[in-house]
Amino acid sequence: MPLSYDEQTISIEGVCGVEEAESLLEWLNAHPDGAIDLLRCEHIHSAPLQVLLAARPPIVAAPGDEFLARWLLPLFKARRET
Amino acid sequence: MNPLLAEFVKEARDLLEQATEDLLLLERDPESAEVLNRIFRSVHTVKGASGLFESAAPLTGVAHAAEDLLDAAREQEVRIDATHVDLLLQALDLLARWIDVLERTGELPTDAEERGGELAGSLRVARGEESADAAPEAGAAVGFEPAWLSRIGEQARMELYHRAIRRGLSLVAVRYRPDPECFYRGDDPLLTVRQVPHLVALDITGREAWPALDELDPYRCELDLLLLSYAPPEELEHLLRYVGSECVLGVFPPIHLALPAGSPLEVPAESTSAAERCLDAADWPGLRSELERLSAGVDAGSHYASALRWCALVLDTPEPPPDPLRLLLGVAGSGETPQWRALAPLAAGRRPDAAAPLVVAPREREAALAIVEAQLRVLEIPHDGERWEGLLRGVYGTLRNLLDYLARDEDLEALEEALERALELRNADPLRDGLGRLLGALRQEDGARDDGTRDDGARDDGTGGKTDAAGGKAPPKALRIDQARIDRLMELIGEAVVAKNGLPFLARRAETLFGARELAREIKDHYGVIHRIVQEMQESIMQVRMLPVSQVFQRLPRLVRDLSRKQGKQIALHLEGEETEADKNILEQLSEPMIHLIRNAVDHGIEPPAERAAAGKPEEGMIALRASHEGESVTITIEDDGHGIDPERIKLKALARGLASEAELAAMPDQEAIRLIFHPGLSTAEQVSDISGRGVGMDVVRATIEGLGGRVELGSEPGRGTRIRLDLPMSMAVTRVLASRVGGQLFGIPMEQVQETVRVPPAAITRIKARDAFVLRDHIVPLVRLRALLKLPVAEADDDGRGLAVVVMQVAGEALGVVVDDLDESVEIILRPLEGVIAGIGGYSGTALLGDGRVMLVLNLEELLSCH
Repeated sequence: MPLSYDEQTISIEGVCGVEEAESLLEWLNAHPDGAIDLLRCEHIHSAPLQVLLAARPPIVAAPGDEFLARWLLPLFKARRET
Repeated sequence: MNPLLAEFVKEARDLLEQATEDLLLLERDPESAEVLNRIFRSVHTVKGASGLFESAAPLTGVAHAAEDLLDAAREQEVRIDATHVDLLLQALDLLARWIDVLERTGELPTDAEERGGELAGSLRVARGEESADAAPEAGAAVGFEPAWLSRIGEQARMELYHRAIRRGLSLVAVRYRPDPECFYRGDDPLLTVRQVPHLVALDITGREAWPALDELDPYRCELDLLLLSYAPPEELEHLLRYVGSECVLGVFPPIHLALPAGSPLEVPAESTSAAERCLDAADWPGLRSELERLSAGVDAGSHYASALRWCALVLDTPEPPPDPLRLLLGVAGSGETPQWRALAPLAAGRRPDAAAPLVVAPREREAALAIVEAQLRVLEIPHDGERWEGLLRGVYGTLRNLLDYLARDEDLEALEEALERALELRNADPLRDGLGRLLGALRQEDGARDDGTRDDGARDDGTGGKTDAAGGKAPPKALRIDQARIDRLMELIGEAVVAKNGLPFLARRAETLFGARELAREIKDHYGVIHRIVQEMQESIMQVRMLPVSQVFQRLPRLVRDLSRKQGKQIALHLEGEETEADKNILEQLSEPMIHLIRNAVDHGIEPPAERAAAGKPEEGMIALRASHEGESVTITIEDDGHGIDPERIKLKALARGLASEAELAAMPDQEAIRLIFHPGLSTAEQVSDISGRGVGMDVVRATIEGLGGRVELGSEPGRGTRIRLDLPMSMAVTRVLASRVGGQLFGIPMEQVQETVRVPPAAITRIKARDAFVLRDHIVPLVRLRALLKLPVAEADDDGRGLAVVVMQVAGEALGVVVDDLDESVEIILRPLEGVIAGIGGYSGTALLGDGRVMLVLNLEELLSCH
């Protein structure tokens, strides 16, 4: 199960596939202040990524995955600042 | 097999099957854009996925050619006709065969390249014939716009510039705007980007501003990606070859990164004149101090300040290039973008393969040594659990940056391996050893190469292996479970049933042996609970094993099409109830009989068009295939409107083959006569076409269906058609058998064959020739003794006065009385096939374990009778 929820945070673990995009979007719609924990995320498919980019939730835990930490995290930081 | 390949094999197989099915639909309805798109997507996905495997290149080629033809059809440059469908089917068949070979051997057959080339050629011809003027529009793509680079932050661009200049590299930039529909094709742009070698910058945004969240369509790809890499452009082109039309690729020298950004700032035009004079005089120190003076007190966020920062950076090399500096000074403050392209020939950077020796200053080397030493000390810090892993990754990250800076790709790779090993062993030693070696190497070079240079020899490596590793992370698409696991679960539940059935025995023992009536009752209560749970478990696992009959049906349209084209017949296949579900095992075994029945219908049932017209029927024949649930069973009917089965011809054949006497045949009603086609060795085909003559006759069809616990019924009207009805159990996991005793042993007789059980007094048995029989409700029922069939000694004349225990059953469509010693109750069993040394023994359909631990042999009476 790549997504696990608690009240204000969604944790994405392992490989987050294309099919998660919808539930991610729903959750973010329902939780405008929701945050994302990417610590154990190994890969995120472009579809759920697009949801994250559009929603710009705060990232509370940086991904352990090298690629994601190096290339995706800055996108969110930049977005939050602007 | 490599799991990635295994995944591809499964996926490709499904897609090819789907495409084949769709292609037949398309032939019927060539105007359907939806079907055409679906085929295109299937083929496109197969092509795309196959690109991951170097060894599958011919496969990719054929898929590509097929895709092109389909694309031409989508663009309405080509109208799909039967020839195209033939060709495409041929291509799909070839791909399916290759997938099979790929699965078995991990490679394509040796002639793949040749055969694939031929077929791809024909596909291209098929496309070209009708669209000679629709030449591929490659090269028409818009060029890469240097201004796009400004999407990368200035800080990042400056670092990239610095590194590229130091290492004498060109940069490749790709702007990748995936097709909005790409998710439906299985594309994951980010996964593709993951595989980009030497990725040095990445920006991802939306094509346009993101809509409000509740208006976002998550499955429509709106991404716009920009990435930069130092890899040779060919490598990137290769990686992106399947999304080529969605990418714009540009190769440019590092100076193109120098794009001053920020708010325009009005400055007097002459403010930079002093700097320009220094530039003309090549007075670099003068220019440097002039730049410092100019930027002092200027808004750092302005275009002016940005341009000055770039000047300072460009200046920071042993031989600063004057032209870029002049250009930068020229635009400073204006908010304009320097036109680097006009300058390109002058400032062109070197290509990566001609990388210059890397200059490492003594101070840099000192710093490098210090960093490695410091990280070694970090590794000595006592650690615990999760933090330890973070620590290791931190050390690795620091060193990666260092080695990247020093362009030591080989060392970087070794370090990466060391990290992986360390994480795997949960021990820092491999990483510590790696660092030790690196430190040694650096110190040695420090001593040996006082000229301070080092050849950057490791350029063309370190990409291939990594690409695969990243590809291995492909997200799973759906949950696919190995069938063996389901079977295992099924077995376990079977064992639970057996264990459960032991409880009533236990209860009886408690009561009779120990007089513990109360305990016996409690055991029975518990039995009730467990019984219910096990039953539910059984039902749920059955559900998992249930598959729609479309699994079997889906191959048939293709079969009908091919056969009818070959025989010049026109046949419409009508399918109904494809969603009806049945157990996987049953469906698997149903496939062969279905193919045979359909072949028969096409081959022997439907007449050629002329003959049909003469008989006043529509030229197009019809075969209808229907599936439905009826109670606990699945019914499948195959109906055709052909010329039916001629009972007279069957009778003649039967006579010629000596299957029955003339008198018997004369008395035989027509409906019974046509059933003779189920008799082994009777083929009604006038001529053996290439379709029949495979040794699978109607008798085998019947045997297979009956082996599954089903029944076959046949009805035919000459001139009107034939109808075959198959009744099958939905699932065959649990079988009910009638337990019968013979010679002190327990045998099971499948309940579905049992009509009734009767006691027959010995006096009621009449002897007709050498056979015994008795009369049951005015019908003569032949009798066989199970003892005789099983070659057990014949029991001394019964009896305890109750008469012979006879099981009246349906064998091969007729009533037959089977005499057993005694009858027990009926029990539910899990039938297991005979295994090991008894595997080949005929006459039994399997064994079952009973609740009290005894083993029961389950009889297969047809077989038993036929070998008798």
